[in-house]
Amino acid sequence: MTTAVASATSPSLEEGHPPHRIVSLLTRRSGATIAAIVTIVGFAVCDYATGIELPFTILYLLPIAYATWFGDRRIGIALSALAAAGLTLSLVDKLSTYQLTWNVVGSATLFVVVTWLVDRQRADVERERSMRRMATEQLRHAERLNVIGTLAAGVAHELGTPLNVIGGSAELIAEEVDSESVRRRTAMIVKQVGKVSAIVRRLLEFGGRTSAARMRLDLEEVAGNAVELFRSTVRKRGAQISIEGSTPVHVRGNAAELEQVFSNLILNALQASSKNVRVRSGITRRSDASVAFASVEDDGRGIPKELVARIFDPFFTTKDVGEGTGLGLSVSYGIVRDHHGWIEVSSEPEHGSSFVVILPLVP
Amino acid sequence: MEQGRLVIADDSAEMRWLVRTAVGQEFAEVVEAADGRELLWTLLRTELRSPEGPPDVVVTDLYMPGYSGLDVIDAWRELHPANPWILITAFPDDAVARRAARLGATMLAKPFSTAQLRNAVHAALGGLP
Repeated sequence: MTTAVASATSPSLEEGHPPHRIVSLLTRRSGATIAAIVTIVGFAVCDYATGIELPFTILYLLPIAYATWFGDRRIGIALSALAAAGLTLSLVDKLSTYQLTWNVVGSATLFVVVTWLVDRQRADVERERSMRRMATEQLRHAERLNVIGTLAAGVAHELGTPLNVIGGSAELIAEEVDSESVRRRTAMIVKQVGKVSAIVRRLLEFGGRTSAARMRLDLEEVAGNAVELFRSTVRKRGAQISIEGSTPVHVRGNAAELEQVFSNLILNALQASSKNVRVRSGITRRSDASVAFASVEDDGRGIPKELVARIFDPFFTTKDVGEGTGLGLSVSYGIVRDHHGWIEVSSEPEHGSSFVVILPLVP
Repeated sequence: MEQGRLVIADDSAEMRWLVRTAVGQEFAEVVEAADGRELLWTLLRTELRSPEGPPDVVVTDLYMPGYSGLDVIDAWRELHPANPWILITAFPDDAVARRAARLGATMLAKPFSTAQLRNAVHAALGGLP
């Protein structure tokens, strides 16, 4: 690696490109060092010429930096202005106009620069902290869902046999007894067993115990198929749905399963009284890697902040009884996780929600 | 028309009853086994008793104490590659489905209807030599 860099830079030296060298010198670290040296020499010269007043202003920096770090930038700038005003008042009788200007302007610049640097540093630390908090939360959430998934799959497995016996027995009774009323009732049992079976199947899907064949897919096409399914429903509700893709995106997965994910997300968006549902797909970056994304954004009633952490839990629903089983999002989560991806949620109550499905990119 | 032998293996007595009641009357003989080990012994016993007899249709659960349904199919295939098997399971995952397909077993996901079971058995009987 080192050899490659050396051999790449040496020809330009031999061929002689001095401007290029100077530009690279002035950039980044070396540039900052030179700028700092020039500034210090400049300060020293000006201090020598005007009387040594500026160094004492460093004491003002302590409260300014403290207020910027624990308060915010505006407080820092306000304090800087206050300190500059205080300096002006204290020096106005002692110094000439030229000396006063240098001291006040120099000090004020110093205050503002320190405020800016502290503020930027604080923003970096806060961003880092929030990213870590988010990652920890995601991990904890994923772990919890994993435990629920294992439990759900276990329960689902145990239910398989009794359901089979109940439904099968009802069918056999209907065959043996020649009575319309018996036939009707056993048909009801079989139908209800079918409903429970559907829930069991979805629990198994959430638990990741079923997996289907995977192939290279166009993510926009998959999301588009789900959008088409809802076109007429959307029209009937007087709402609008749009799909847009910035660039062709390919992922590896099962088309039917991923379609189910987007159908669930679109259905949720519509049930949240949205007037506009926007489905987008493309490529984005997460943790320095390019990933595929497809998002479903709505302008519906949104999700209350305290509920966001629970929306992927099985059987958790805010819909009315009979409107939803509370399994749609859990199943979607399970499917996306089995595709080595994840779902990001952001929501603002009364303004809408955005669900972003992130999947590994396939060339 | 009654023909052949039906072997039912499931650790649930109710499931064995259900399968026997739904399709048992189509066979001359119905034998039950409560786990994988018993299934293997049942097959061996019937094999020793009548080595030239008709092949059995075996309906077996996947997860059972002793050996799993797939393990028994795998072992029995050495003796009778054409023996029809119906594998019932509540876990129709990819790995199981692939292995069942490789071993030539028909999969039935729980809960199945009696019609599905009968269709699978008829297909198995139809495929017998």
